[in-house]
Amino acid sequence: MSHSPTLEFVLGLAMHRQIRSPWQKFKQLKRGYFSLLILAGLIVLSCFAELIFNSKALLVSYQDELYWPIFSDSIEGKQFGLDYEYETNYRQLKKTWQMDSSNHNNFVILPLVPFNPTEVDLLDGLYPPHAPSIENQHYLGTDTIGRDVLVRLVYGFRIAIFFAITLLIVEYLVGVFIGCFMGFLGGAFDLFFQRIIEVWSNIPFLYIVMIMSSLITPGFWSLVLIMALFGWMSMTWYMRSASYKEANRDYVLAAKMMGASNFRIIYKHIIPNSISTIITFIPFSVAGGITALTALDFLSFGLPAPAPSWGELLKQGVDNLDYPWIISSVVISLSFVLMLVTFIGEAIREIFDPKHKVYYE
Amino acid sequence: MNDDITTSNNKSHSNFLLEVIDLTISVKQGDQWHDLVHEISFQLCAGQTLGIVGESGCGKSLTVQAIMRLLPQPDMKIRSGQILFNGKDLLKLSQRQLNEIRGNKIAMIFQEPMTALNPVRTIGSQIREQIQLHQNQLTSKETHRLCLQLLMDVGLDLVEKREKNYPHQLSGGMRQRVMIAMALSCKPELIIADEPTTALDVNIQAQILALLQSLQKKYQTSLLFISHDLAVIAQICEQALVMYGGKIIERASIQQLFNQPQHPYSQALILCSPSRNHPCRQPLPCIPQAQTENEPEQQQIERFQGVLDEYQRTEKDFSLIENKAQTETVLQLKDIFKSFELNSSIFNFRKHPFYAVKNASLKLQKGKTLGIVGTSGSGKTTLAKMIAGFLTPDSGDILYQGKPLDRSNRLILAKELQYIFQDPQESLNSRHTIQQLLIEPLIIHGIGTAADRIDKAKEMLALVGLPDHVLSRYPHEFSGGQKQRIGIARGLILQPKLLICDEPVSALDVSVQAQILNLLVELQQKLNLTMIFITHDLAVVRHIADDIAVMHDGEIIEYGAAVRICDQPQENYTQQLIASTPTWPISDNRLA
Repeated sequence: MSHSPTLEFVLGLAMHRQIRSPWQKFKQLKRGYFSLLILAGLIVLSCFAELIFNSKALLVSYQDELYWPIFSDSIEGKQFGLDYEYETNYRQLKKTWQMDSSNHNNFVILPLVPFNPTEVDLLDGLYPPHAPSIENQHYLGTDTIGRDVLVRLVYGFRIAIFFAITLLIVEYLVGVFIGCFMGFLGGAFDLFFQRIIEVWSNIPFLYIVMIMSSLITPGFWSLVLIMALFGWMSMTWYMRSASYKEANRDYVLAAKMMGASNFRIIYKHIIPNSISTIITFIPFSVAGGITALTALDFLSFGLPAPAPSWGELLKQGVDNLDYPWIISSVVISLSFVLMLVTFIGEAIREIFDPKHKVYYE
Repeated sequence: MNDDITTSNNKSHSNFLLEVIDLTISVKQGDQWHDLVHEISFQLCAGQTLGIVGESGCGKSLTVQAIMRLLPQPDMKIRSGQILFNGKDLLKLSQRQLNEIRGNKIAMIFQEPMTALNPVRTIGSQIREQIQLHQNQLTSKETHRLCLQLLMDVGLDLVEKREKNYPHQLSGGMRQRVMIAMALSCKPELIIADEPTTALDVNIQAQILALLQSLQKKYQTSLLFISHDLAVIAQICEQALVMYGGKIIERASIQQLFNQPQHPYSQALILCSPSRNHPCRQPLPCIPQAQTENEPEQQQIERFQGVLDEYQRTEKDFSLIENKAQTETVLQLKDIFKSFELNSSIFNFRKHPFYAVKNASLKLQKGKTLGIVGTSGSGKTTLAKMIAGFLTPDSGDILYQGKPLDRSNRLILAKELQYIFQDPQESLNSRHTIQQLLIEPLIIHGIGTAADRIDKAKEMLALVGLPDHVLSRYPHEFSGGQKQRIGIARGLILQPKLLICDEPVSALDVSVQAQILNLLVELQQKLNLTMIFITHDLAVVRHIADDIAVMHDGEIIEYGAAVRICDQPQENYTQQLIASTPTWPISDNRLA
């Protein structure tokens, strides 16, 4: 009995308050909750980006027959009575049919923003970048080679957020398990990995990425792999100390006494009891992942050229400060997303804050 | 203006040092305030010793914290009432006036001296600070002399050296002595001791109690002594208050309380601690859980009267005393040694072996209970953990049913023996529901289908006296006693033959202890279990065990029948241990 009965009572009350599930508590923290709603909305929206931001038409009706170009393979221009065999230019098609007064039955429904992230839109007689205009449907303008900024932002966001989440899952899976085993098993395993981590974390990460990207063309998965290879260490320290502490508690001994294997003890008992420290880090890791990818792309060590990316847009914006729509749109979006993630992180930290705000006279 | 009021009070109650009038303490739960202590009143005269006894949650600690104005803020407050000290209402004092009284006029001794002392300062400097705060007319030389005098008074040797020690260099008993020296440093009129001996071993407890008693006489202070242990209160106090559910239900002199308790709760409380007069292994009375609502007094009395009547009615089944003679040996320990290595300092790599268990040999027959008794550090838990397979002995054999135990295979071991832990809160994974906790052993061993497992879990709950519907709840929703029942249910679900109970009742209240002891005896009869019962409490072990092994510094110094050892101890150490256990001042137990 280390506490006085009163203190235990107060702690007991505090625990009673925690009976409200963490989710219910989270909902009460308005700033974090709404940030989560907005971010979730953005992610869901970006998953359906092809329906909203696409150069292909949603629906084409030609000679009483319906075509769904987004959901089918590329459709030749000949199909719609045009004189070319490559992929139909639907914006052109729409214009043509609108001009044609004899045309009554044929129509084209285009997505909200009818551009591809990699598509160069050359307006007649003008050099890109084009300033934002509602008329030619470049709502945030185009970049220096005529690709739509808004569309590239959306697709870039999708890549960045999923990159960050994938990276987080890979890093945490490795880090949590290795950290737990280090703390739980101790001994030679622990010592071995401690030294490995110390050496490994002293390797300059940026040089490795530069070397790697000069050797191979980095893709989404190879970038995740390279970054995870250098990012899993930070989690191990937290999990190691948490599981080291948990491993000597009675409930772990009780599990041993029931015959549970080491893996089961870690998986069923130690991880659930020490995961709250990890959960707090998740949003900040997501923010870190987004920034890391943006930075790599900015230095052009990231995803290869035509891929839509925020880092590449940022680079263009910095190089072309005369065309402020490029830099302003990417900086605002980046700050907005990072802000949302940080607010969520703060709210989560608040939930798991074990501080009992008790004072004495 | 306050002074006017207090002086008028002063006239009428001039003979009381401390007077608590209609004190109500509330706690904030959500947006509401709930009363934890309901309008209690008591008085204490100068030079008197008053004990407050009650189970955890009865409000005894809150009451003394309120007197010191040490309630945790902002969740607790004193809703109404007065606390008069020498006629002055403590609740109306400013912070500065309060500081003049705290430590100077009223001193406090806490349960855990390690946390109450500053670990980075020497004990001498902490005592001197206390003196200088309140007696700033003294020179530093005088302060130093006074400090040494105090340390001498509390029975420390080599005080010149001791005062330069840091708290961690002292033993628990010595730390508590230092706390007492600090409390006495300003010659307070009142000392409040909040469970000062609960964290200590029996022999140290006896020394501290004797010390407090002699110092209280020498310094002529009043003493307000809080304890959950009736025997400790009986040892040191002249009068006692019994608290239950935030109310004082009885105030009586010690002699009267033990020999003619008026309130049925006091009677039940006295009866449910196992004592010498109580026949071994007979059921003890079951005091129901404290009611949180403000229960009408009459109803409360009737409820406890019911408990007593029930207890009187239970047949005294004397077959329980003579435990069935069975000769099959379940467990045998032969010359077990276990040492741990201690590094003497960071740079000294020579390892010093420290023997936690030395040359232990035991034999345990089927269906019997072996009690292992000893003070902390005597090696009793190490021995139990070796039997359970958590630790491997350096040398010696552990024979289970005649064969050496294969400790490498947890799965086989789990079906043969199980372990009940001291702290049920610690031993149940707080993130699992009761159902998950209970069926986990069955999942690990692949026993039955999902439906079978749940049936089995329900069956075990019924066995330990809990209803089915608790399955979906989490451990923190239960009281200590209920959690221990769940722990026992989980321990028994694999139908082990041997149950190792490591201090299973020492974290529990007396009434809950009685229930768990009843349950263990009942289960042992029903399931023909063999038990190892580890405890520091001789009264408990006498009640439950057939045989006792007394351990001291890693050695089993006395081993034999329980009643024989408790009543006619042979070894010097056992005699000391028994002598230092607080005894009941009961002339004849009229209730038993």
